[in-house]
Amino acid sequence: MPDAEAKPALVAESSARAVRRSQPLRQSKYDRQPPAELQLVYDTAPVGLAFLSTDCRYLQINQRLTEICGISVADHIGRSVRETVPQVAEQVESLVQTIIRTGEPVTGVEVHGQRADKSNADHVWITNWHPLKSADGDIIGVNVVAEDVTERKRAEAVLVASEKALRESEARFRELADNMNQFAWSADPTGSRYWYNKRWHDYAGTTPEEMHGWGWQKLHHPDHLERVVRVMRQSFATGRPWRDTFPLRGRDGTYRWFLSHAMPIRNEAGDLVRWLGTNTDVTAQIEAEQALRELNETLEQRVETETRERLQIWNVSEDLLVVEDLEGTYLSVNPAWTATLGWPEAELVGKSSQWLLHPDDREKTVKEIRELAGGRKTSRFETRFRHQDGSYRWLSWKAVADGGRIYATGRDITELKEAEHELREARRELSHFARRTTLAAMSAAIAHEIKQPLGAIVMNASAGLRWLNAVSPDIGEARTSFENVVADGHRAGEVIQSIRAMFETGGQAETTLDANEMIRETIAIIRGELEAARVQLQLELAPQLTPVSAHKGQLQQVILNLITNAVDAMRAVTNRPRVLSVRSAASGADHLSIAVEDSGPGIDSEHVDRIFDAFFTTKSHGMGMGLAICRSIVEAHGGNLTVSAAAPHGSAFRLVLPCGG
Amino acid sequence: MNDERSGPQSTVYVVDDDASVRRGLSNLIRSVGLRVEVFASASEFLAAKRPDAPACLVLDVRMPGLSGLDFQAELTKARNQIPIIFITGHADVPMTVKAMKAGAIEFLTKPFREQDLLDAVQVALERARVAHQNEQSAAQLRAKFEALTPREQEVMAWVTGGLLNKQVAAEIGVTEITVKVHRGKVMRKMGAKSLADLVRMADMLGIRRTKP
Repeated sequence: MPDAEAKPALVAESSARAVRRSQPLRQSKYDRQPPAELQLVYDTAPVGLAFLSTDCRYLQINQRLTEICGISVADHIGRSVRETVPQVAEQVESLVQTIIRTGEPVTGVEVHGQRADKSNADHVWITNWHPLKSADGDIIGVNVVAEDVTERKRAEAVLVASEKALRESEARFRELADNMNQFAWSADPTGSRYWYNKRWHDYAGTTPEEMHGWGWQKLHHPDHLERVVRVMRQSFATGRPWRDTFPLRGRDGTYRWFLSHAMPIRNEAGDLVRWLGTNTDVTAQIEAEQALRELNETLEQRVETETRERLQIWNVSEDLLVVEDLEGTYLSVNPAWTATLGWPEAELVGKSSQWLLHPDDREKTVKEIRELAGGRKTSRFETRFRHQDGSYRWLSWKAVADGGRIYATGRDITELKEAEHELREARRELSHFARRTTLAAMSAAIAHEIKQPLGAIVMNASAGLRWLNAVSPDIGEARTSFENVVADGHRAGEVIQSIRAMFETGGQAETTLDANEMIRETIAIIRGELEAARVQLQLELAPQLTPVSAHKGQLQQVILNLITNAVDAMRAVTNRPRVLSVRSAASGADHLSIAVEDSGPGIDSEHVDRIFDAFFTTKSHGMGMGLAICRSIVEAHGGNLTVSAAAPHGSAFRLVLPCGG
Repeated sequence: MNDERSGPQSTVYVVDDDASVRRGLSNLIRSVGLRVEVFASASEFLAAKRPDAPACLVLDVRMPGLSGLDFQAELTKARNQIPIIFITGHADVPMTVKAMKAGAIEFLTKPFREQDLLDAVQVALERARVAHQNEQSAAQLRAKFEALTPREQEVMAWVTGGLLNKQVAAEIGVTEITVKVHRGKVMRKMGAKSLADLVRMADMLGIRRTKP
């Protein structure tokens, strides 16, 4: 039924005749008077009603229908449709004729027209046409019922348009939802999901049916599911936005991490109508964070480990570790201090080392610290520290200053020092032993030198006897044999003589002598040979040497031997002066040195180590005994004999003797 | 000890760097009728031309240059089997052992009794003579063997290896009669008095062949 406000009107020409509502339809051929109550219904019906004659004249019309055409009821009566509403007349006349012809009603016909004031566009009526037949079946008129459906039509059109817009909007939404990078889904207010975007299914390889409701749980990692569900239910229960991060299993079985949100969507009344959720792949970020966290943890752990290790070194080190300020005040010491020196840490920190140091080491320590502070490193700086028990420990220090602090390491070398001392003692004993060995070798050499002529004597004498005892004695051979015996005998004597010369003063007691005087006397003996060999002598004797206690003859033999060797060595020299240099000098407080240098070819480096060995000789006629005996003599006097290369040529023998003792 | 059986060609070589020792040794060895040649060093000895005759060497252990022991090693390396008597001023046990192991006849320490030296020289020369003779007879034997025809050499190898004539015949593909003929020629040419004699010769030549 059309609503009360609709006031459509058929455009009508002003009526020549008016029909009063209360009046019967006088112009009607069929003058019938309806009951008054029916007339009331007719007049007040909310639909337009009219009764048309077969020639399309109004026999009756109600108020409603006249409202829509703007002509009064009275003016309609008797007038034709063509007069009152000409724009629909054709359609009406055609309908009426069809009904007359067929005798059948026509319903649901839309009739378009305009309002009387033409202020609006088309109005639409749905009309029903029914024939009214006389008792004998003739059609005497047509009853018209017209309902204005303009507003309904408009509403329908709006609905269609809005549905279309909705469809488009939805399509756009799906397009967006299916093509965005996130997963999206919707859930009803209870949290039961009813829609997912395509991305979700693409990723998880799922179907909407599987995922419906709470089916999504099967994609969750078992380690996370319980929490995810709990947090989510909490959100759904309270209506607060949901947020979580968790792994979801993809179609390939691997998990990726997703940052997930769900927002409650409310209608205008504020009721929660659904949830809209998204899941964003944050695997890369999670992994990066993870990596960073691991790196940090590793780093922290390393720092911690290193710190612990370093502390451990500080604690377990057997070396004494100390941090001092630049004045040498101890700031911290490690436990090795107490272990080594007995003093507790509290006694040591806050003071310098002065109170602990051996009095002889105090000054040099102050100096060392000053130099350390000045930037020099300390290495192998040895000092004595007093133990709590009163004894002293030797410590060897390494130290460096850095950033206003001195870092020092001290090693207890007390035992090393003792070992060194023992080693020195052992060396002393060894050299004594070596000297005895040299003497043994010497006697073997002497024995050999004597055995040679002795052997020859025996053989010649024996041969001589055989020549004489032969069946026919050979006197000539016998004589030769005995002459050989005599010669060999003389040779044996010479050997003994030369050895005796070496130890001429064998039984003689040591005397106090002036080394310079002894050198001069020796040179006087050999001066003739020096001149014969054209050797220049350079004599540099230091005045006022402390007297030496020695066997004069033996020392003379040594000097003589060295000079003879020097002269022999220079015989080969022809292209430069043959210079013999003999010097004496004080060596320290209680030693003196005598040097004999030549300008000969020098000693081959391969021979240097063996030159003092018995039997070693580079001479074609030497016994190889001279230097061995010289060294034995010198060492027997508590001194030593060494050789080195002289510059620029030759050898330098240096004899060091204790004196004044 | 003027034993002339050894023949005049036997020689005693003395190598010692000490002239008086050399002179004494030479005199002593000559006094028993032996021929002596002296050298001051090993190299002098090696440089000298020596006849192919029995000889021995009296060697001082301690010498400049090549020492006596080193010299002995050199000679052994050169397959020179000359017997050696060492003399030394002072010998230690290892040195002696080393020399004796290397085949020295005697190791005398000075001063030694001259008779000990002379005895050692006799032993050395006797050994040299035997070796010399062996060498010579071996050379003669080889010459005789090489004078045989190849077939005769083959027969000799099989026969001395213990094969019967007919086995030899089968082995070399001739008749037993032919083998007998070859065998007779071999015995004659080699101057063998018996099969045992021929076997000894084959042994010395190292040619005996036996069936595997």
